[in-house]
Amino acid sequence: MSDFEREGRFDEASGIPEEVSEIPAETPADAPVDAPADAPESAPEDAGGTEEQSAEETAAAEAAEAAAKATAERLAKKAAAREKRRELPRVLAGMFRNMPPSAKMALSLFVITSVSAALLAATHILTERPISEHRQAAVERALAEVLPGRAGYALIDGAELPGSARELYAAYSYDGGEDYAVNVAPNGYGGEIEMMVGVDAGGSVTGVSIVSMTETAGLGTKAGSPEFLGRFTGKRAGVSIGRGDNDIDAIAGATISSRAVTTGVSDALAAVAAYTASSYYYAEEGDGQ
Amino acid sequence: MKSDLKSVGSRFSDGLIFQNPVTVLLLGMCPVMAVSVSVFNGIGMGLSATFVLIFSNTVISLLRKFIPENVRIAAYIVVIATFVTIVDMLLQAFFPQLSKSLGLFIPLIVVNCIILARAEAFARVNGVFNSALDGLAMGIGFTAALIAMSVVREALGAGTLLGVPVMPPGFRPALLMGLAPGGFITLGFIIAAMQWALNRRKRKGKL
Amino acid sequence: MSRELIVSSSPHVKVSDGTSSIMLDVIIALAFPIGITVFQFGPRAAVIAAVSAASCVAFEYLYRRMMKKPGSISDLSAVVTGLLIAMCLPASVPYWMPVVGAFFAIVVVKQLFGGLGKNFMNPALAARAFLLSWPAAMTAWTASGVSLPLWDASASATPGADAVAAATPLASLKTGIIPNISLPDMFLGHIPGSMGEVSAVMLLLGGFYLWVRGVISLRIPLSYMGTVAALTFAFAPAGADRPMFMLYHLLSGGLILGAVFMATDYSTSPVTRRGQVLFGVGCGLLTVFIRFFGSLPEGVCFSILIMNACAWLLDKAGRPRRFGARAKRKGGIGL
Repeated sequence: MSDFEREGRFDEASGIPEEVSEIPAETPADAPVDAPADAPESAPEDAGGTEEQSAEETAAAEAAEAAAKATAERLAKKAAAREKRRELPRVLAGMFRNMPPSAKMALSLFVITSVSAALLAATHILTERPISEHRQAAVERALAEVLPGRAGYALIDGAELPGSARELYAAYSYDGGEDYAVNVAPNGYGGEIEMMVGVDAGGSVTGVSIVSMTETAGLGTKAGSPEFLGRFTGKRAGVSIGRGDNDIDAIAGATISSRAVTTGVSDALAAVAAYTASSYYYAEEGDGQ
Repeated sequence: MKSDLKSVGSRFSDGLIFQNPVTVLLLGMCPVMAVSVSVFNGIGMGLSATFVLIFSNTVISLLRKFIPENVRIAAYIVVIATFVTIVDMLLQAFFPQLSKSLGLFIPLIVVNCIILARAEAFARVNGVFNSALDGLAMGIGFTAALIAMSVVREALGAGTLLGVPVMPPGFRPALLMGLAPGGFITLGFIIAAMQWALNRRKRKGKL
Repeated sequence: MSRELIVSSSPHVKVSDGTSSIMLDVIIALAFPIGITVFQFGPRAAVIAAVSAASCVAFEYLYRRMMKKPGSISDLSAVVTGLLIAMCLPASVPYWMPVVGAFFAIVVVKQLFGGLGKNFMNPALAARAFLLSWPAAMTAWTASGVSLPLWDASASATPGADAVAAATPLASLKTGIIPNISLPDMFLGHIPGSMGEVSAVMLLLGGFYLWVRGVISLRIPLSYMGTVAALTFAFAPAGADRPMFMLYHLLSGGLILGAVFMATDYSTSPVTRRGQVLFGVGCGLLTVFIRFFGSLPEGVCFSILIMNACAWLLDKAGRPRRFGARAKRKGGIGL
């Protein structure tokens, strides 16, 4: 701390500093720095009275003096800290400029990535719920489309999911029957085609609904048309593109998309077959149906 | 003040016409080709890219003294990727059908050359306000180019505009326009038309 | 012609060849296969050819006029392009299709690049590829011998629909089975397919005429068809009759049409001898590849277009050695 600044504080404190005003009135109300110097001077004056009084007063004066000294030190430290805080950006910038280059790179990247991570985490928290709600709504919509009018739907955990099958749902009807729907995602021409395939308890397709597809507009997207998807209704395991009874016609010019949808339906049928033949089914059914 | 207004105006005319990122600077053509199949997608992609451009330009300009030269590309990519991911998450949460149709191309905004090029060429050496303005202008230019391309490609390739049929009943859509070759041909014609118009202006002495 | 500079002193031998006379020869050679399409598909075929040629000429004239360039329709190259486009189409296409194809071929592929001789792709083939934008119309093959009505010739409107919407021989060759058509039928053209590709005998006659007149050299057609023959013979599916498989492949699809009329286009094929042979071999390779492994039954169109893009490279490979220079130089192609 420079002399100038000390003096500046001196000038600021030309009145009674707040902390010092709590000290007993005998202590002269001088600047804190000068207080230790002044106190002994004034002490003898005060002690100029009676002998008993001077002993007490000396003690009190000394205590006040010590207290003033402590307060002065506290104030000095606080001032120093304030000063450091003001200089902080300048000091840091200087430190940064003088850092070795590798440290500079590491620090700047660390700061940027930490802030990014924080922002992303915040956005994730904000958007998590709407995203899962949308997905849930899309799945429910698809389920209602392929297996309409059921009492309830339930996701079956741990089912065997061959090929492109992703999830197996069971749908319970009011009269106690159980049908299935499989969420499949086969690879089409422009990415995955997410579909819901409804399969009844007898192993034939009840309907196919597209959840999402990114095929070529006007050509591959024809594979998502109700006309094409309707061809799958009633088909059983082993459905493929062709001329037979259990086969469907592909769309002219959209072979890959048609094949993808067919593969998805096939995998769905296989998933249901695997489930109904597996131990899960018998364990759940008990008496069996 | 007057010169400020003029420079703002010139920034916008640069972004829209004279330095249009797609038709003059020929940047960011990959998403343009893929997304300009329908006008709805084009507008969505353009606005998302504009959002990312503005914010990334601003942040990079703010940090321009802080990022050392040799790691600047890495730092820019982190900043850009952060904003793109934020846009992606916001789209998925609040505009799900747009997010589905744009699909893979929202994450690909990260490597869209326009954003990196403007960060490197402009935000690195200019102030925050100018950089943000530049981001906005370039984004608008990008969106305008996307809209121009998708109007042609959707009308000729699917017979609709924003999903509404606009062609006379006997019209049979040309599937090629919805695929890559149609995109390149359309872009070629648009660039040719712009160059012809700009050259006419030059010849008439208005430049 | 009158503005051509004479670079040496007289006497000169004047050859009467010019672009227009060469194109006239090509038109005469095309008259054979186009003539027979009228018998196979009815007068509609001739109308389509006429519409195609007329729209090509119209677009070229309009473009040259609008861009203030000297007129070029007198060199008859637009007519040739129009006729070639028509030959690539099935006879049942609506009339606007050759017009759209003509626009693409003349304006986009030919004129925008600088006109005759400056295109890098065969305009007629590029137009055919462009017209695949309407795949249903482009694959609506009709049986040979059924005369199509002049208006509304879609398969559903024509009586005897079963016979009309027919599969081409290439479709069954794709599955490895020799089609159920006799060889003479294949040769004469009693098969479904696009207008110009069905009659092998007429195409060969046209090619012969062109060779006799010196318009084309046999290097490209022979190397092209020879490669296809060799490959289809060598890689015939197990159990098939090899020579028959090869013959059916040679006679079906646009192979002869492409090899004789499209691949030999001057501006899009190499000039050097070795380059031309390589060009033909490359076309043959790609054609067989696409026919065997691609999702399309026909590979001629795209293989020629791809080789067109490589023609400049093949010219470099086939460059004759400079007189006096050493035979082998480091770095090979490209120096």
